[in-house]
Amino acid sequence: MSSTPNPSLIDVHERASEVVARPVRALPRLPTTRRPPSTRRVSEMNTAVLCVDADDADRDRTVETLSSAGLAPTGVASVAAAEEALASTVFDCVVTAYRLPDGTGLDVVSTARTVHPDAGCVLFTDVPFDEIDTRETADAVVDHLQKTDADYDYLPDLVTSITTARTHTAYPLPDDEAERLAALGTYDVEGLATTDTFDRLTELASLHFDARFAFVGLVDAHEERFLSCYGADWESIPREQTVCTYAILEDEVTVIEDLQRDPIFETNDLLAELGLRSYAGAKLTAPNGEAVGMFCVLDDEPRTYSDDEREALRLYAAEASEQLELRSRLAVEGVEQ
Amino acid sequence: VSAEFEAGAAASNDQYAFDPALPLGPVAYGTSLVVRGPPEAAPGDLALRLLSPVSRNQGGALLIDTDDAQRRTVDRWTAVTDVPAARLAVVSCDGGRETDVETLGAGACVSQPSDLTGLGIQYSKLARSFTEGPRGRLRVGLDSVSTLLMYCDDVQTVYRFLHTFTGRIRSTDQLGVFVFTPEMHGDRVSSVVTQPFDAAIDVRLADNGERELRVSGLHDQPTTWTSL
Repeated sequence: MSSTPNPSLIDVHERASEVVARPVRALPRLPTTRRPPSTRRVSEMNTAVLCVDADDADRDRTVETLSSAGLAPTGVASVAAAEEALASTVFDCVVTAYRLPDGTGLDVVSTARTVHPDAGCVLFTDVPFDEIDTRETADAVVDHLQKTDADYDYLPDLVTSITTARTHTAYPLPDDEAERLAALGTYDVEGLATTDTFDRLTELASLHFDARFAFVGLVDAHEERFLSCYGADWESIPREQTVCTYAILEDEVTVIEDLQRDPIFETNDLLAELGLRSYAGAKLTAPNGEAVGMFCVLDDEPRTYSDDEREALRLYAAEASEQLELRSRLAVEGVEQ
Repeated sequence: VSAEFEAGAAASNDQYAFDPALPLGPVAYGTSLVVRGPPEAAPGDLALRLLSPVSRNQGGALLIDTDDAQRRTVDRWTAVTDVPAARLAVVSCDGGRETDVETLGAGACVSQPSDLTGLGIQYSKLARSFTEGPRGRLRVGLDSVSTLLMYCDDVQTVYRFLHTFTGRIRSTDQLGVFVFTPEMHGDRVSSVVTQPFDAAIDVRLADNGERELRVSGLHDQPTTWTSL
């Protein structure tokens, strides 16, 4: 056991006045957001499905089949129309034919994976298997059905299965994902992001760890939203691009000493663009233990964290978790009064 | 053999049974297993035995083989099971001919293991060889996940492929058997890419030279090292 006592948050407050912060450079901003800010959902209740097929009769049959099953399909006839729809609307799943007037269904899938990374993608076609060219889209990954009566019958079940279990995500989901999102929903209270408390905590953490960045992030269904971010100006990042997506699965504080040498994140261009090299994060937990987000410190150079530093980070996370819970309760009580 | 499970137990109507000589009980439809172990413990051979249909009414098997040509896959199959190769379909990744072995039930190929979109489509194609409609019984294997990781640029793409694949296996009541060699990868990569599977069968070579297995993630299966 270490002989060094764990620093309390009070210690940190005292130290903050002593530490000289590193010169503040221009705040790193996120590259142009891939999902346009004006995107809208077709429906909050129904699963939104984009159906792409140049054959009017086939497209109508697909739309009708999905609609009859309680899903919310939208039909378009080309790659261009699909791209336009994907730019303006959030779809849970794309069902596309292969041959389209201005490209292929795999072009549509590539766009969908860029704009809505978590969307399910189904190639639904009567084109013979051997005429489907996958060389340019080897990493698209789709479910595949043929336009037979049996597959038309099966299509709604497949789409429902994909969107309910979210089996096309490129990252693991916690076993308690549904409960976790429900717990996170209780923190969706007005004014949370403008609360000074979290800004103070992240600033203190940045000073305490001599780290360039510190943030409080909530890991939502499809993106991580930052309640407070010291040293940068980030609002949200798609979930598949964040380290926190993986860190919420771990029991302990997660430390990645060099992101550029990590087998999972070495190909993550966004982290490199933001100038991130090292990561340390502790989970924000709801009262029942669900991991709703992370308290993190990051730096622009590789670094290690001692056991004491990891424990200190855990304390910061515990404090932020309590603040979240407190504000959630205050909001509920305010409504009740 | 542990008393906690019954090896070779009769499968109910919603289970896949295994070779009675294996110390494994049946597993539920839709289950995906990862068989983990070093090459010397031959996890691929165990996977083939799990894929081998025990009776005629248990359908056929489909193997995505990332490393071998189809003829070599058939040789491996006939070395571990009496089930005719006519009940096996193979997707190979060597860019060869669709089917280059006469005794094989069906064959298809992609140019290389990194063509994950092609692998998924060829799987759909061959699955139809052995099933009636999209929900027929089928044992599906992939040998190996480690090769996919070597050929693909990033772990997340392989994860999406495995996540999608096991999701389809679950929704169609098939059986999935995936081969993985953790020793070839770091702990974090191994932990991430095995997340989509329902259970793991670890194999090893014991000090006496015997192969042993143990299961994690499933009830009524041997959880301690048990001779194969």
